[in-house]
Amino acid sequence: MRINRRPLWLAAACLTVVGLLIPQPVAAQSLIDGYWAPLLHQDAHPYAGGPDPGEFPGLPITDAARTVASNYDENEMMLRELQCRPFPATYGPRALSTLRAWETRDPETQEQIKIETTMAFAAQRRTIWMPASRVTPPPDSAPHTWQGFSVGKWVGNMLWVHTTHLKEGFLQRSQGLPLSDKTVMDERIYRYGDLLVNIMIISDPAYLSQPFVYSKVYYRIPHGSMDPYPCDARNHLPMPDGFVPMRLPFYTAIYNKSFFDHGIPLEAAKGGEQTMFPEYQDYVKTLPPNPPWPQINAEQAKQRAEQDAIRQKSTP
Amino acid sequence: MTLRPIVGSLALTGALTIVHAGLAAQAAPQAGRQGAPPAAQQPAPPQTGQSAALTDLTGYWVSVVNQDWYFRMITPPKGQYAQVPINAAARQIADQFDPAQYGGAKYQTSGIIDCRVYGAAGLMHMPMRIHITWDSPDVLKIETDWGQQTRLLRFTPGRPTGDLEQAMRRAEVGPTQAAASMQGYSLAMWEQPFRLNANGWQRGFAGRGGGLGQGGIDVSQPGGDLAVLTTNLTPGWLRRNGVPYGARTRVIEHYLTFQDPTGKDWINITTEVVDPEYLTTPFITTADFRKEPDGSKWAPHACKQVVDN
Repeated sequence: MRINRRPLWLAAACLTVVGLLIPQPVAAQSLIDGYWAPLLHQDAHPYAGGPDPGEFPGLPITDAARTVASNYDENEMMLRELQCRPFPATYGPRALSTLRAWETRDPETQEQIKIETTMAFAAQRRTIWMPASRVTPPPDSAPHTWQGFSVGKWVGNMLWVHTTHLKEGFLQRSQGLPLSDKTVMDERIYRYGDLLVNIMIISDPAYLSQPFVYSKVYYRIPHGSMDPYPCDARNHLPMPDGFVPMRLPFYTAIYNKSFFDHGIPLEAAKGGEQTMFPEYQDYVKTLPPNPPWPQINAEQAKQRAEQDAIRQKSTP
Repeated sequence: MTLRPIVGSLALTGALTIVHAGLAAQAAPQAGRQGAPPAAQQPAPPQTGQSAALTDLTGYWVSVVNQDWYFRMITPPKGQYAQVPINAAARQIADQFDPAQYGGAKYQTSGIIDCRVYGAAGLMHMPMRIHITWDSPDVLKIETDWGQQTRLLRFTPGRPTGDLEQAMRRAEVGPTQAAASMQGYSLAMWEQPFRLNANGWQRGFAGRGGGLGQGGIDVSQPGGDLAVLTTNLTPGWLRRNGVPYGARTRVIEHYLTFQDPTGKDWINITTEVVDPEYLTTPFITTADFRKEPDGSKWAPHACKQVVDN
């Protein structure tokens, strides 16, 4: 039986033409797929052991945030109940932890439907649903979580991410600077060769007077890996059961020797949006020198003693 | 009968040729984006840096110092070099920093700032306002109020777009015969390192790689950044307390615009300093600038010229 091949050739040609003319999503590698390591060339100080208590310059915080932070005792992190607490999405990417990102595509359409990320430390796992225009956001009453609810979209070759439904977290962990559950985070993620820049814009009507803008640089690890994070809560500090470290409201002394060695004026250390702009360099010139460390330390020791006395009286 | 497969093949080839030519025209960089396409028979005028701009960097911008405040807004203590990957030779030089020349006991907050930290390798990390304008169609000018510096970013006439990393790898760009200066010689190009809005055929041919297509892209914004390579520098500082960079330093920058959720415009500048003399690895930082409506807050501040003995 002879087969007439002409219709087959014409059909193939037509299908090719039609297929190429229809705009289509492209199946290709993701912009951020892979393993990424944080660079430590900027702001490592606040995220690798620091910052020191009371050191808030450059942060657009409100008085309410300062009040919460002044009652925070860094020993709180040693409570067994809180040791394995994950980092929130607003903090984890700023910390010094390897990032892994991968995408999932719809097997039929090859459209990207989500990007997931995980960070080595504290096992922070996020899902960014794609594209935002096709995702139904959860209701306001939906539970808030450490990583929140994230949707993304590509704007040109930049990934925009919008995150809501965040659990109450912290702007700076070791200082107890808070973020409320009204916090919203927007990110702009862009790649240059082996560098990935994540610009985080954190807005919180409760504790920030302006958005906190933070850009983080990661570099690509071609054959990366990530260890598991089996968090093991244990007693690092001797604390009686039920004891919750905190500072009483009158207790204002929070500085340590390291902070004083940095030479940051005490007023600048209070932070606030005015400290973020170049003109603050003119203002900082007018500030008086800090009192000598022995004087401050003696005053703080007095306050600590008073607080201990109150604690002992109130502890059964 | 034997002619039918040949005719069919010709039909297929012809169709593919037409489609490919059409898509190649679509993929031509920026064609039609900056205005009406040129008349059919007239040669297109050569593109300039200004006409090929992927984003608008012009205007007044203020640096927002949310990061590294302690190293940027005040002078860190003498001997504080954390985060900078310097070698022993650099440490030796930085240890010669003399606080007495910058206000004595108050040197950290005196506001007396050495001009060397306003050299191209350290400049964009300093707190300041910048004013960006087109000095000519192929030269973008950046002026600063603090430090009162002027940078000229020069596009190659007729070739305003490219891939800086690739050009450096091929040694197509590098030091020039220009005299060394604080701001050096800056070569600029618009680049789209990952053309997310291009499909396989637009990139050249399927499977070649390079483009990273995605579903749901807002193609009205083409994306891209300004890449700048600066060479021919005189030695300068990376920090206000004297952390040095040398004359063989090259600086690679990427200027990226973005909008915050309130619609405000920002520039993110990523700076990579490569110095074979004083750095053990490239030193990479970022700085964020927010757009200002006008120059009403422009406040020129001179820096201090210090001549080493």
